[in-house]
Amino acid sequence: MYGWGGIILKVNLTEGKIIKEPLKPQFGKAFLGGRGFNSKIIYDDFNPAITDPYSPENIVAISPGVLVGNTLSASRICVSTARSPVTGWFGDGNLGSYWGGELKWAGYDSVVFYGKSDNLVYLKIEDDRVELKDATHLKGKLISETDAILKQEFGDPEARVIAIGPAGENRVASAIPLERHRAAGGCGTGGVLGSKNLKAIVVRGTKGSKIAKPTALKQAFKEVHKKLLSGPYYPMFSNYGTSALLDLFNEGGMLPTFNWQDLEVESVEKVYSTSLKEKYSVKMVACLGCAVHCEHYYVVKEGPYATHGAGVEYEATCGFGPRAGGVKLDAILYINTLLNDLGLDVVQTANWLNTLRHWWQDGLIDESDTDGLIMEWGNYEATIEAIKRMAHREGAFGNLLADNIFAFARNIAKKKGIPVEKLIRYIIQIKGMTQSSGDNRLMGMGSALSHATSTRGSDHLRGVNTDLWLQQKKAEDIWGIPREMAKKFLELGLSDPEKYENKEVYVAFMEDYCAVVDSLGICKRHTAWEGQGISLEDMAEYFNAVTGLNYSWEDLRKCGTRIYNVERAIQARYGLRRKDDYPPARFFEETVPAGPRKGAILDKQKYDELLTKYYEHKGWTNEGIPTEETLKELGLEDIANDLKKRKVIEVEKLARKSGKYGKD
Amino acid sequence: MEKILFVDPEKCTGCKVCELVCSLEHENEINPTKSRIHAISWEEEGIDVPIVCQQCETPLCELACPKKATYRDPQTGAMLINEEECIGCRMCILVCPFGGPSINPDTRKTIKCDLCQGEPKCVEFCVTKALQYLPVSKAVLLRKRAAAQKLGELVRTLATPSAA
Amino acid sequence: MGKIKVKYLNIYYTITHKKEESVEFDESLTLRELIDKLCRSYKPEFRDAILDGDNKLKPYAWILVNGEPAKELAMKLEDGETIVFSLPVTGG
Repeated sequence: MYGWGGIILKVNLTEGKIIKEPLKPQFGKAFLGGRGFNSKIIYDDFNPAITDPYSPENIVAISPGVLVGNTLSASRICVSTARSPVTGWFGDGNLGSYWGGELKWAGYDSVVFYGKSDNLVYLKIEDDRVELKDATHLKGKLISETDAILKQEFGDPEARVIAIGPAGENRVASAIPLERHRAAGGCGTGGVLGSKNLKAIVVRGTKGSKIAKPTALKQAFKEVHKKLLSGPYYPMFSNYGTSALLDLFNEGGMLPTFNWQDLEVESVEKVYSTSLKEKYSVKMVACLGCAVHCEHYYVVKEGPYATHGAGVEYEATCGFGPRAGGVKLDAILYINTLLNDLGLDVVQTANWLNTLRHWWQDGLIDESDTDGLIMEWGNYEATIEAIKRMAHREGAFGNLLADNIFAFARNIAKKKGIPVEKLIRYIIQIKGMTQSSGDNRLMGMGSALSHATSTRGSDHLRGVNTDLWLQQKKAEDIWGIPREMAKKFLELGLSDPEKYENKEVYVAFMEDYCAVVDSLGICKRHTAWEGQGISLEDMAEYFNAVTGLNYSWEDLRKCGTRIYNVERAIQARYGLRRKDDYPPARFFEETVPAGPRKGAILDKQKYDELLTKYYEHKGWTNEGIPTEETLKELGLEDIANDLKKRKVIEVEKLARKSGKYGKD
Repeated sequence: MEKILFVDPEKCTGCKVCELVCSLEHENEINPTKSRIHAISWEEEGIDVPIVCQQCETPLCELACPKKATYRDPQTGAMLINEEECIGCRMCILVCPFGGPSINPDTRKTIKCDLCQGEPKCVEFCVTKALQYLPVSKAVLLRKRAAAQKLGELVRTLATPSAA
Repeated sequence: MGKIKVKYLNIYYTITHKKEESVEFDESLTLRELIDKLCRSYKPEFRDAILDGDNKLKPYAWILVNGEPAKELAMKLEDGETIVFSLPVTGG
């Protein structure tokens, strides 16, 4: 089997046993790798009756995409869990890595963790040798420390380490695993690993990957490389990284500020990517096999925020910048390094702290609720202290925030006699995941629908990023998607970002597309998702050259559809329904207060209609559950039968009969 | 005019594209262990250094080889290894100050950069120009030009119009 | 007569080495005239970033006039306006 390592490592932490399960070729062909593997394994192996993310019965699956270690532009690994401490649902995070290459070159496609170890351990993988080792000496160590110590012990600086920091060990809900500064952000899989007493995975693989059609791959590299370099955003990302998005958002009147209140922020240019480049960015660094090298290596030489690190994204410069009501770039960089070292997610942490600030602004909380920390807009000292206390569960405030923002809200509601819904309304979130990227009122209706229906909760990475780059006159100016799809989108009038009609076609396509990208392990920044050059056809070329198979782009897309439906079925088993597929309430109730897009707001009725059309288009019931027919068509009879057995599908059939449609 | 493979570590991002394309070109696999070039990184300090055979004028590998298995490519000036003659003693690796040669883990014999017969793949795919393949005269002026530019900007900033 | 503010975002800053500047004009100034003027001042990369071979605006060159992407290069610019050399907003 070319392309796949051929082995799924199943680690039973309770018994300290490691099983090398041979990969079935059919599994690889149907689910590709990466996110596809994780989702199906979790569907098959997890008992949905378990609701506690920290139960030993929760599962963490870590898989590089099938092209990682086999092609350029592919470095991404997916870290998934059945129950996320952030949302309570299924969730995952994706990181660009070098670790993924080493795992594939050692001969493995996935590492899956079950159960819970009695003592803190780490997993050591050295080609064929896989063993669990004592990690007592790593307890409490930061990500950077863990990385250095394990490489030293391994005796090979080329070994790669994914680890959790003290936050993960302390089961902080927004804790995540990282390979140094490269983070699997979002769903808080760090705490789950912490609850399993799994500190790190160190891997070294020297076997390399055999390629089925090396000549075809050499040719594909040449063509795709040229395309990538001529992409419209290449100069921006390769020199400024995603921190450049803040500049674009602000000048375009779309910058989220003050916890999504979109009020004016003074001196925003202090956090523009040009300021970062000028003052603190030393050079750009990359992930494995990547010609875009979009990460800054930064140094703040002196002052109270002296620091160095890498991997500062828009989410940090905005989340701890204008969304936090401040513009101190050196403090933001300090915080970024701190989060990466403690092992905490930037987006969730930023949004939670900004929610606290918003409550503070409106007089709903005060110092008595924050152990004395002044959670005012732009107070960086308080932010840094809050992060440290949360990571270590210090004090009542730190301990409560570590459980997640909803737990905090419930506590305040009870303490002060405020209805909890009033507090939760401040949180810009969908299915428990707080929001990243831009404002649903402004990025296009396709983007709003995508965020809302994303299978891991609010997410800009799962489908349509923005409708705005569809504003081209010619199909050939829309990069990275098959020409016929680009033509279709233009014909359907999807260039108008504010239009609701027909957006389901765009969203459905991009959701499948992103599922493919996440399962191949290609970096989305290289693809149509970011308005760039690598298309589905190119991905099929890479895939076929590596594996020797003969997939068309439609075949790849079908894998994406299949994977997306597996995830939808996972969420359906937990009880997620139509009512959970809506953008945050505030975006239907508050207008954008100023700027060129003043007055923008989401239209409830139009969105309802769009959602109904979307479900129809996807072959789902009106509650968003994949129908038996849709699942069978994708070769997922086992899931159809399981949903029937659990009466998930039956409930919907009954609902149809009785004529009950739509949101209650 | 003979070209040289010119390495500028300041521009290296540590992406290892060079390792991937090198191993694919020479071994038809993707395997950094079989690459002739390696990007060595210290991520904590933001330092990345490509290490590859310097195709020395006085090649120590040639002096050390007991079987005289090395020879110069007349076209590119690259030092090549005759695989049939190589006995895998690794003396060349011992004496090279740069770690230029690698060991093929399958054959246990030395492998090293042969400049891809004058069209080095690593250079073709290196987007930052940390690796360049240039005539000697151009390479010499590269660093000088970059330094001169910085000084030139300083001069421009400080320059005042001379009094009439 | 008038004065406009011109801002250069990220990649345009790389080319011009300026974050912003003021441009004065006597009688009137169209966007096309402004671009021509700036192209004369800056390296050829500036023109390449904005205009295609037919001297038309490239699809991914967004020139914002008071926050809205300009559609017509012939549009007249008014005193006090802000012009931003940018790209279409994308998330990530």
